[in-house]
Amino acid sequence: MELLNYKKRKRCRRLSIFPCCICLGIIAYFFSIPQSCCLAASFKPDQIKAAFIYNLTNFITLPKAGHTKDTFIIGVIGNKDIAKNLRVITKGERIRGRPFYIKSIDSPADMIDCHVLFVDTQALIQPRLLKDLADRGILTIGDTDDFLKNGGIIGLLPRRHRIQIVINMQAARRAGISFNSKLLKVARVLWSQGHVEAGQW
Amino acid sequence: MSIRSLSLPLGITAVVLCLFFGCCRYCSADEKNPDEALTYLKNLSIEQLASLEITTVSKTEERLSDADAAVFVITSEDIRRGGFTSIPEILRMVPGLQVAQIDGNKWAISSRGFNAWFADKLLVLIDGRSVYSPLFSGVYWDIQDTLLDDIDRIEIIRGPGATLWGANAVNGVINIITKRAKDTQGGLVNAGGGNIEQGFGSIRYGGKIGENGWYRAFAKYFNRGPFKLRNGHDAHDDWDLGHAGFRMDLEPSPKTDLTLQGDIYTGKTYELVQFSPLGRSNFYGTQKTDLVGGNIIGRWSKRISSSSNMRFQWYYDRTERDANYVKEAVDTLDLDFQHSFQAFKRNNVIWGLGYRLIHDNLPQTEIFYFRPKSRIDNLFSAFFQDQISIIQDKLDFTLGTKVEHNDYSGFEIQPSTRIRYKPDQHQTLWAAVSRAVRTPSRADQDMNLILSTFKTGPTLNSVILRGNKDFDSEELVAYEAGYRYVPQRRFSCDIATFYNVYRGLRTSRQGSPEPPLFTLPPPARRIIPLNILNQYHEDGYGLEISGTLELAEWWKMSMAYSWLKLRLHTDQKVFDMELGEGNIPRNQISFRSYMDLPANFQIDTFVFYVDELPEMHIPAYTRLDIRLGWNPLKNLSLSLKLQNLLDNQHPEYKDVGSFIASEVPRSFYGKITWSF
Repeated sequence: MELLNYKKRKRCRRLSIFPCCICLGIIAYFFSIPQSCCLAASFKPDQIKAAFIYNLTNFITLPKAGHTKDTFIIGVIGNKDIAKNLRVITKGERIRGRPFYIKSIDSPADMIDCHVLFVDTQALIQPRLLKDLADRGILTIGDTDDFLKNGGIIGLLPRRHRIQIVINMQAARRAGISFNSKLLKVARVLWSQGHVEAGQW
Repeated sequence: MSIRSLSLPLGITAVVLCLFFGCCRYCSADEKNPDEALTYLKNLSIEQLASLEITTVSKTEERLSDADAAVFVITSEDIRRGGFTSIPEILRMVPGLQVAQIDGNKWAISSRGFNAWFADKLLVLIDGRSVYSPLFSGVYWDIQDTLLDDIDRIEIIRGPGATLWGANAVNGVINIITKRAKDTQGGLVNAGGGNIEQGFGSIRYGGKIGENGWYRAFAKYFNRGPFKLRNGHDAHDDWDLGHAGFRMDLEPSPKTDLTLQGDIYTGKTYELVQFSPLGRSNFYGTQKTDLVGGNIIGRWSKRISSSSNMRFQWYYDRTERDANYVKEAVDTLDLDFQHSFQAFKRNNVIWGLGYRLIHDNLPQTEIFYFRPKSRIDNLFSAFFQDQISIIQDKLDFTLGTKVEHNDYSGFEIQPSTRIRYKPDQHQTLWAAVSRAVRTPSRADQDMNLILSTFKTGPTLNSVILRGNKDFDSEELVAYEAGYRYVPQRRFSCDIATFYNVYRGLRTSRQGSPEPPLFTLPPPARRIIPLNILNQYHEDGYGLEISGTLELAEWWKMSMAYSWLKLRLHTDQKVFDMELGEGNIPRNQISFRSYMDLPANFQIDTFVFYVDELPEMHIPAYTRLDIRLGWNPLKNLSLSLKLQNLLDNQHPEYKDVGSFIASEVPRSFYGKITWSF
């Protein structure tokens, strides 16, 4: 008797699960995902970095001297994809009335007329050159700890699945670059070189 | 097979197909146009950009999302939203895993079959420390505990993982990884209780050590009340455990990590047992087990370059269990070194060396004794694996093997070969052939367990389950294949299938009775041995499907389905519960939904269906758990969890030997979490 009941119970559960599954499937099909949510999904680091570089240009004030060109030049060393992404992003955009110009850098001589210079992980750049660029009032952006240690100004550093902006204030002062307070709120600011060398980040 | 018995797999397939095509419809649009992604990014504010998640930063995560194995990851968010209070309960969501609660403090958990209290084909690691018992080959789930808020993720690899993880990773590996101390800064206090969860609480605090160091320390305690027997009586299977631990992480340089962590715990479990010890009448009553243990782990890792890492880890672990009938103390010391690097541009090589020392002490009890009573065992191992990229980012071939030497079965070689094809960055197809072994445990070779005693004339006969020095490893050759489609973070789908061939599975056979031993005082005693031996061959195949879908910013769903069939190659009636299909559900479905409601409310639903266990006469059951959460303040959260809402109580497993199983009742508990 007990066995019989047990079999009946089993059958009931099976039968009730099948329509449930079908209903669930149909709901899932028609309950559509809004398109924008798909876009908010994961992005490639190169895309996010390009967006950061573009966005950062709105929060900086570069020293007047030396930047006389009528285009705003962003140089990219060692990563063609970021340069490509930046071209897409800055297409048709202007900053303080000036159009953007994105330049892939092949030799140090190309760097001199840049306003902003992005140095990719893959590219090696000597500390002396970074300091020299700062003296010329060029904003250097990099994505490694070492880049900041060697005198780079802004680091876009991967931290726990996100990108953190780190500002080397000493190098920024040397370059005469000032930042909007909104950026300082989001970024992590290293005030002295001593901090940088300790490598606490 | 009748139509009715097919209805479930058909239903599941329908759901999966609907989900799949439903999602493809909506996700294909932006896939064609990466510029759209850039336009979207361009319009974000700097704060929004800073909070965006990038998926390919961590090497390990990258490896998991396009791994060439059946991998499932439980995130800390899954644990929080599930409102779980123990690790075994978390594992119920994993496809291909069988989880059944035997009584209030015991679980049978295994992967791809062979489910038993001591499921011996599943390896479990917590922060790289093996918690697989070398004595009885299985995992004591009643002591596997940590502060669940501190778990970063649980990675479950179904199928053999022996090439990397070593022996006993036959049908799967569970890797529990806790957060770094850096990510658990500040204080956290938890407290709660309910009808079965009679009270639990924990406190954790994390801070900094100098400029480049972080620490955390925690303490927790819980007390769980008894389940019910089938007849509605109290099962007296209470469980309580107090636990404290710490973790320190130091980063002396940006490329070097040092970790020191440790735990101590003490607790008690109770269970109902029925024994017939030597020369005594049946004993039916409650047995208490005292649990004491601790461990300490040290780890050093160095990133040499973006593709090269080195790691050295040591740990010491002590586990003590003390009950009337089973007493054990085990010390384990483990050293492990791993090095990964890139060679000749196309080869990703990882190799390692390991040594483990196990010392045990097993005092004799009335029904249980080991010969020898105490033993020291050494385990040496080395592994090498090379991933060769045949077509850059498209086609990989992996070849590797582990060689180890243990004191029970000598040398073991566990090779595997895998192939992975990625037609594009969203899809992964993989296949693998591997060999893995379950090495003999101390019990398999040295145990004597008195199962029953009876009198014939003046002689007292004892049936003894007896270890066999010739017992060899159980062997598996597994053929696996899988497909994973992750078009977006908001939708993913994973299908894995396998065919496993096992040889030399453990069973016991009655040996010839020994001549009676005349002792003073009488009666004379005679032993009837049941000898452990490798006998049965078995094969099995199955299918596991899982998928996640984020329907909206506030609603996420996940589903898993597994289908499993095992065939034991024998015509005889077999009494070993862990063999064959008697202990595994053929179909399992789980469904999870996480919903964020207005005013910081959350409602999270967890439904799972487990098919019948035919030989144990456990009927199929559907379980519904609901969690209601509310965060009235940023650092305060309240939650109420209702478990097993659909029935008063249901059994999930049968009695194990002398241990009486109990049924899982309906339960609820409330919880308050405050962080500062």
